Amino acid sequence: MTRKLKVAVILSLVLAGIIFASIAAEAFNLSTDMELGIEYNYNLNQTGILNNFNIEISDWVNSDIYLLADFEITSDLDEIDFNRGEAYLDYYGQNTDYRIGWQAISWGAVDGNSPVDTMNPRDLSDPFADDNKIPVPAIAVEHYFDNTKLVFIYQPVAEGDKLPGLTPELPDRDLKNPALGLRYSYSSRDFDLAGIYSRTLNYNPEVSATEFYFENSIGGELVYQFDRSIARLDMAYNIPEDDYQDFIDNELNYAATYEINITSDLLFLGGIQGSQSDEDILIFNLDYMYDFYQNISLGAAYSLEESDYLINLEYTNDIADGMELKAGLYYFGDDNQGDYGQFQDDDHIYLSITRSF
Amino acid sequence: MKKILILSTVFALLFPVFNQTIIAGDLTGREILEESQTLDVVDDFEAEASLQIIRGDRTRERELIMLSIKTEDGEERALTRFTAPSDVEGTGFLNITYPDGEEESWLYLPAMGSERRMVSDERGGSFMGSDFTYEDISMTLDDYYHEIIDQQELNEREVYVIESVPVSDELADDIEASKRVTYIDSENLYIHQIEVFDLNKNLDRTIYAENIEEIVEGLFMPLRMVVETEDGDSTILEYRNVQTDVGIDPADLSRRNLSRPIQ
Repeated sequence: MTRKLKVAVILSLVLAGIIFASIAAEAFNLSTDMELGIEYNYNLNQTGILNNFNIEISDWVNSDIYLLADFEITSDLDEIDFNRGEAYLDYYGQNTDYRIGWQAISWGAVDGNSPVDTMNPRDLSDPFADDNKIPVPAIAVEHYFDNTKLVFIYQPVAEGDKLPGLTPELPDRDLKNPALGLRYSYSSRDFDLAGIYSRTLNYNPEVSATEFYFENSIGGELVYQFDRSIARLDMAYNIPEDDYQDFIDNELNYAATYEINITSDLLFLGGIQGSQSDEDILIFNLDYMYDFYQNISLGAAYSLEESDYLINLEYTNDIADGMELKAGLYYFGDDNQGDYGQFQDDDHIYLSITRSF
Repeated sequence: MKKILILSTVFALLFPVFNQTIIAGDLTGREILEESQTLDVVDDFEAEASLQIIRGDRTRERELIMLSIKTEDGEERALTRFTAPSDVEGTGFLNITYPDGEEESWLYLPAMGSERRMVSDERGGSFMGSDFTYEDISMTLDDYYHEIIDQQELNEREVYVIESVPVSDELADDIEASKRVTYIDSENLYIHQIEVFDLNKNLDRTIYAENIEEIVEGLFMPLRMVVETEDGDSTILEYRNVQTDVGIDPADLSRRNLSRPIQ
C-alpha cells in the first residue's frame, strides 16, 4: 500500500469514527469522548510518526447500569492497528458493584511497575507507552463495608503479555483453569492496607522467552500518610505452579516510594524497586508546575548493580482547553548489557499533541 | 496529573452561606467572623460551578459538580467532579477534614483506573495554578488574632474592616500570608471582600464576593467570586443550581463514589 493510500485510509477511519460516534451520541443520547493524538519521535537511527485515535462511548442505561466501549486506532504509516480497549457493563448495587466485560484492573499503591498490579497482561512492543495494559474479559465484584473493600476478579481465559515479534506458548486455559484475583483493603485516616492473592500467567525470560506458566502470588499494599508526604509499599511473593517449581524459584518482588510536596509547585518522589533475584533500581522524580499551563518533570532510574541508568525529561503545555502539547527526551546510559543500556539505541526526543473532544 | 487537581475541595465553604437575620451589634472581630461563617445553618451543599483561570490573554475553563457535607461527628467532606473540558472529564477529588484539622485527600483520574491518596499541600499553596489557596477554603479562626481596625463605607454599604494576623511566624510561613483583612457588611455580615497580604506585608491578592443571592429562604451566598492578584492574574468561580439541605448521604461522599462515572 502506498503511503498516500495509507494516509487516506487512516483519515477515513478517523472520520468514520467521528461520524459514528456523533450519530450514536445523537440517536441514543450517549456520552462520547474522542481523543486524537500525533507523536513525532526522533533519534539517530530512526524517526517515526505515530498517530493515535481513541473513541469512547458510554451511557447510563438507568440509575444502576452503566455501559462503556472504547476503541483505538494507531498508525505509524507502516502499520495500522485496531485495538479494542475496555468494553464493559457496570451494575451498581447497594453495597456491591459488578463489572462484566473487557476491563483494565488497577491494583498497587506505587506509581509505575507495581508487583501486585498483575491482573492484566501487558503490551511490551512499545517500552515507552504511558499505559500498556491489555484489557481482558473478566468479571469483577467489589463489595464495600465501612472502611473496607473486597474485590474478586475472575478471568475465564487468562492471557499472557504481548511480546514483540514472538508467539507466546500458553498453558491450557479454560473456565476451570482461570486467572483469579482477590483483594481485601482497609483505609483509615492515616493509612491504607491491602492484602492480595492472585493467580495469573507469567514468564521467565531466563528460562524461556515465550513460555508462560501459572503462578500464585500473595502480596500486599501499604500506604502511610505523614504530614505532607506519603510512603507507599507494594510486595508480592510469587510461587510458580506445578512442574515449573523445579526450575523457577519462588520470588519476592517489591516496590516502595516516598513522595513529598517540597513546595506547593514542586513534588519529589524517590523509591526503590526490585526482587530477590534481580538488582534493585532506584527511582527519582521531580515534578515542577511552572504555572497553570506548564509542567516540567525530570525522572531517573538507576540500577544499583549494573550502574546503568535512564533519564526522562518532559515538558507539557496545556495549549488550549482539551489540547496538550508534550515534548521530552529519553536518554539511556552505560553499556548495552545492562537493564537500561540495552535501550541505548532508543535514545530519542519526542513531541506529541493530543486533542480531546 | 497534578494539574487536574485545580479545584479540589470546598469552595462552597469559602464564603459560606449567610443568615440574613444576624445583627452585628457589639460583637468583637472574631465573633463577627464566626457569625459570618455560619456553615452550620445548612447540613449539606450541592452546586454546579464553572471556574475560569486567567493568565494574561489565556483563559482556561473548568466545569464542576460540587458536593459538601458536615457529618454528625464533625467531619467536613467535599467531593468535586469535573464535567468539562473533555480531557479532565470524570476526574474527581475527595477531601475529608477532621475536627482536629487533619486532612485526607483522594484523587481519581479515569485513565488511572483507581482512586489514589494524595499528599496534603501547604495551606498557603495554590489549587494547581488557580488563585485560591487551601487557606481560603478552610481558614481556622483560632489560628489568627482578629481585630476590628475600621468601620467604613464600601460599595455604598457600611462595613467592618477586620484584620486577622496569624498567631505565630511559623503559621504565617505555612499560609504564606502576614495578614488577611476582611470587609464585612455591618448590617447583615455578608463578606464583601478579603485582602491577603504576603510575608513582606504587601497586598498579594483580593477576593471579591459578588452576586449575593438568597438561595433558600433567609440564606444568602455569593454566586460569583473573583480573585485578583497584584501580578494581574485572576480566577473567577461561578455557582449554578445551588441547593442546600438536600439530604446528601455521607456515604455518597466516599471513595466509592469518587470513581463512579458521572450520572
